[in-house]
Amino acid sequence: MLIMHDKWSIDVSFASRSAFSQFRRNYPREYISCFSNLEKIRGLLNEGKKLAEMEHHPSFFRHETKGIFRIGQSGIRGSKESRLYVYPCHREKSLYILGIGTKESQRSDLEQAKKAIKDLC
Amino acid sequence: MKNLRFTSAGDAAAFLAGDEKVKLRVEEEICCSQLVNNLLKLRMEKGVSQKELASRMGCDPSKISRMEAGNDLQLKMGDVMQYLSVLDVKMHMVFEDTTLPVAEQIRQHVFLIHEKLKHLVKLARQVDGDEVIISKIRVFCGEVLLDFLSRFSDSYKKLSVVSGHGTPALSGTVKSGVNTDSECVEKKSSEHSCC
Repeated sequence: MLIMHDKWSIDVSFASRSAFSQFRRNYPREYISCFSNLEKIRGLLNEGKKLAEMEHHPSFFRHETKGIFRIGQSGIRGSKESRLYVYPCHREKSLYILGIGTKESQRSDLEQAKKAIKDLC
Repeated sequence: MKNLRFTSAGDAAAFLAGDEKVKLRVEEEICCSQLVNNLLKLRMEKGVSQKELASRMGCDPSKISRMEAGNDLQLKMGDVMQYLSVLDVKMHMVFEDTTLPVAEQIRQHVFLIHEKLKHLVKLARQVDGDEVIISKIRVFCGEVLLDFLSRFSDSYKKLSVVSGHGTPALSGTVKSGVNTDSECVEKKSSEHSCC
């Protein structure tokens, strides 16, 4: 379903399908949890919540750098620390998905995410 | 670059994983977090931090963090009640016995609506004397009643189509003007419950 929407939408133009597919194979529970939490964030944005007031409120949502936020997994015992990187663009009302990875790969994941948003907004 | 936009996290997750089943899994997870989401929204709307809430509940902030990060199945009833209580929010529970006959289930829904309207009257009494608020509640009640009858009529028509009993007489009442008399509503409710 590819449509424009009045509410916040999720844009995956900058996400690598192979990277996401591989992550999902390695950490299926964490993958589902991260996207479930993404929907929670989208719901809060749709209700007019500001990113500034949301930061740290759900504990899985943190600002990283240059407008990039990370969404973690939650509620899973013995889970792998995971990070779904997103860039909220207010002008377009879009949550750009930039990448996904673990705590160990966060440095390189963030670098890639920063490169991706150079062309954005 | 292609513009790939989705209206739900489930769709995006399934697309990126290359597996449609993922959508269902994400939706199930979201479904199991409705109560947690509502708690989080309430706290944020009231501008209360996790630390502040923990202080009011007499617990560690990490407990609040765990509650809000988990799903509904991991919540403890006592914690939810305490969470809401310190935010000055009342909790109402509705039990729906899905094994009851449909007519009985409909009847229970009608009673529930009636209870809500009675609560509205109670609220109006609380501001007794404030003519501005009371007149606004009256206008609001009228709008609610109109909306309710319109929706009631639509549902009733759909019900008739499903049961194959033809067009109900009720639709004419709504089209020809709304009678806001409570007796009228009660009469329609009882008609509905008998169908």
